[in-house]
Amino acid sequence: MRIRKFKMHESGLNRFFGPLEAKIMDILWNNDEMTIKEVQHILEKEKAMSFNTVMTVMNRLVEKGILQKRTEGRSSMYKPIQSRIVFLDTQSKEMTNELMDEFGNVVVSHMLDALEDVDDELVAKLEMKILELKKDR
Amino acid sequence: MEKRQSTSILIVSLLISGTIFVQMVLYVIAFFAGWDMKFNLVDVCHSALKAIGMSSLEYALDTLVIYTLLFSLWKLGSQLIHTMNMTRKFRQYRENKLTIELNEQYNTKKESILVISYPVPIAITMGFISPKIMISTGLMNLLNDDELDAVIYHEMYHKKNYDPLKLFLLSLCASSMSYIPILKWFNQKYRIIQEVLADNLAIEKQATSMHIGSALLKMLKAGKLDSMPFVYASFADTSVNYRIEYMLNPLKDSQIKIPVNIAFKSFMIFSLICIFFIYALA
Repeated sequence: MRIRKFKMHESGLNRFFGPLEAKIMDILWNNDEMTIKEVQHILEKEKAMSFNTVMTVMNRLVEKGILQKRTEGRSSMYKPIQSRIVFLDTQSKEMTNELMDEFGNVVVSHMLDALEDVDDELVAKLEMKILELKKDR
Repeated sequence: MEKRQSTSILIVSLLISGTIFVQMVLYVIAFFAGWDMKFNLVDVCHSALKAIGMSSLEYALDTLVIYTLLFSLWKLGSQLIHTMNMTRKFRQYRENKLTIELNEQYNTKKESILVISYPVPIAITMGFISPKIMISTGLMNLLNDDELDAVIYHEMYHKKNYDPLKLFLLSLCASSMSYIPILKWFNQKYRIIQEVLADNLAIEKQATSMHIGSALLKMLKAGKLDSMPFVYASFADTSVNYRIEYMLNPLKDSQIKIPVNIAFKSFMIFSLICIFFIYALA
């Protein structure tokens, strides 16, 4: 599962989902497995919402691979494929990698370059010098 | 290390690659436009080379021209696309309040510093015409105020000096004309000198190497953690060791000496290419 577009100006789940998607995911993560009717019932406590709207959004989340759907009798049960913690951890790594992937391709002046060639002895000497300078202040 | 050294490296590097590049462009124009170039010098060299039977060299020359020009175009296009992608992503990650605050604090013109909401410590300067300094919130969380000042002074040196553009030109020359080995050496050394000079500005502004040294140490440690992937490819050599040596002993004379072997090989290849061109154009 991969979120194609991160919305960095948003916060929380809204970084990864649309407003209604975020609300539905929040409900499902708090309640485990639910039907569309049950989700709609919770959403309606805040604002009137049609069954079809909730169904469309939930089925879209199934298509995206974020929810899984199973049939139980005459109703369909929905639940998140990943737990909230696993999902947020995966997406944070994706966000980091997304930007980092570009760095290798662009010539920029950056504060640090290849780290693997750093001389540990020099680093230790610099650490000593910084400590001495801090003591002298 | 002095500014004079880096300026000389830049000029010599651009002169060598510029000369070859101009000759290649002239060669292509002459080929497609049926342009008959006649200069006295060309006539002289042409007659001399024809006399020793070098007519089969034209195929080798064509290959060299096609490779160099296409490779340069590809590198240029790829750089532009990646820069646009990165700029677009940086805009998405922009942290408005901190960007305004930091620009006010450093009294910059045209919003020279951009703060991005990003967990990895990043401090870079990018952009060819109007370079901008990108600072991540991850870096701001990692460093104290004095260390952050030092990093921003460091990046301001790169910005003022238009280093992204100069580094790109040197990198383009070194990779598209890899058959002239001194260009790769110039590219690496220019980078090292500029990094040391940028650190030097931070040291001068703060009258101590403590803050820039401490910032460097923190970033090095953060970069070694898996969660902070500071993997910047493309440059085989690293400037970090030179920078630490300079911080440890700023008075030590660390003049960079040109490697005679590489310089001689490069001179021979450069001369040969010039001769081939004169021969082909005549």
